[in-house]
Amino acid sequence: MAVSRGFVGRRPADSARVPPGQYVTRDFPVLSAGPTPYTPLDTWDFTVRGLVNRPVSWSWQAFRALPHENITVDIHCVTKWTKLDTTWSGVSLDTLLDAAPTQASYALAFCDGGYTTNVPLADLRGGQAWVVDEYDGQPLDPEHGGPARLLVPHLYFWKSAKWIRGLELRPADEPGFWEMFGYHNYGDPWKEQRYQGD
Amino acid sequence: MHPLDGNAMAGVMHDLFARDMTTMGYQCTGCGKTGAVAEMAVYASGPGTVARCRDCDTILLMLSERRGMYCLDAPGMTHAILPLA
Amino acid sequence: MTVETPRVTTIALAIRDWPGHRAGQHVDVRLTAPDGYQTERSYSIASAPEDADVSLTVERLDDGEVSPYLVDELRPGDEIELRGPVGGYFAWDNELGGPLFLVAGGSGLVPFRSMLRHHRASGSRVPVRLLCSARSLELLIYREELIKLAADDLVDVSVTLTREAPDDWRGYRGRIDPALLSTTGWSAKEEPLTYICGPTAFVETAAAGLVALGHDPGRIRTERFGGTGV
Repeated sequence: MAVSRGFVGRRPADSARVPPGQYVTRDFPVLSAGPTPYTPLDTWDFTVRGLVNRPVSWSWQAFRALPHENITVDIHCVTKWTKLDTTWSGVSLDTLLDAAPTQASYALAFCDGGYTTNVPLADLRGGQAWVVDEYDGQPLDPEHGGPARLLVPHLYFWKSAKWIRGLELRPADEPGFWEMFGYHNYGDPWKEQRYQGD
Repeated sequence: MHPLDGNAMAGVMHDLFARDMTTMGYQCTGCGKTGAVAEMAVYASGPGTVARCRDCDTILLMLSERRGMYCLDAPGMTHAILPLA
Repeated sequence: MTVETPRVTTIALAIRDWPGHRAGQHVDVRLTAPDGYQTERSYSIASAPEDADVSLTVERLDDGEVSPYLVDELRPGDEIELRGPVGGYFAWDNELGGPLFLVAGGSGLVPFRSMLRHHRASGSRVPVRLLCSARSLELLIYREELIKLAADDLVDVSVTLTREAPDDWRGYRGRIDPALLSTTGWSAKEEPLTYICGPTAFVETAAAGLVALGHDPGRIRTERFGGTGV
């Protein structure tokens, strides 16, 4: 492996804030496994279904009317970039899950475009996760997952599913899109859980 | 975001198969479209590289690199036809 | 290193044990930082198989990782790591015949420079029509070489400028559409072999336009890249 003279790549910065193997970027790279869906807001809804008494849905208007929080967090992508101090606005998953009592332990997020990702419910509760519809004070751009995406900043960013349309609550875990193709089932960036077996 | 095409996978596929694979023919199991690897719609920015059918978005090929190993899945393609090199 | 436009540079490489390439193929360039960080991008080969050097023409993308390094930082004598040549689909050699229609958006012209140089060096008798789309005359790469190539009776070069054109411009203006493809290319009856290279949206427009004009999709080869400049 020969070093390319003068190529600095991306520099690791504040190591206390940057998980192992990650590089800080100032850009916001667009990561995508398929075409960008453009769902009209009048047909958009967010649904919690699965192991619940009855499914709960919010229209875009109803979702916008839910209490929003401003969130500033660092995000860590498995492709090795970390972006510090990203600012979002969205609805806490505590608010959404309170409306749908459940015995389930796992959630599978489902999205426009067919993407899915699995997260233990415990990781979505306790002020750790949101469904966000604004980034940097602006409506969330479709390229970055708008109208709304999941935000679970303590896990690798593929868990923060773009174009989210709801959660399916499940008694047992089921791998999502990348998890099925060999990425880690949980995805803790501080333990560098990138791939199955890490 | 605009996808690239299968030409962008030429290097990695050459590493895997030690020959040009961009001219390999296939049929999509989703819609029956036939084509060559070079014509697939390729999303190369994610954790892995995803190649989809240009007509129906079915995932044809998935390529990822982990711990020094390439992993290749072909969930949506059949009838691979390879010209003699 | 040759500056083509303010954003585009051609880099000549001296490569040990180069196995030779076909016109239209590309190489993957891999850069490694001192801390081990690596990144890789594909670039079309701009030189013909018959040329002494292997050269790449690189457009600098502002949000790119590799192209700003290659255009701004790389100096004569530096070493870079390559994989290739790779790709056989978007390659042309004389045996594939024609007539040839080459459609380039912005730096999509790069692989066609290799094909046209190969066409000349191999003494090909295949008639070629080349259509290039650029934002302005200043941003059109290989201007001098295109003028020389157009002197060959077998090679027709058409240029369309999409953003600004000189007052005395005698070429085409505006984005490619079926009318322009029909005027500058071959008719479907002549069964041309067509290569289209450029940013994704440009390639889609050109390919769809030719299919609408009755061309056989099986004789249209496409290569898309993430650049700009059409």
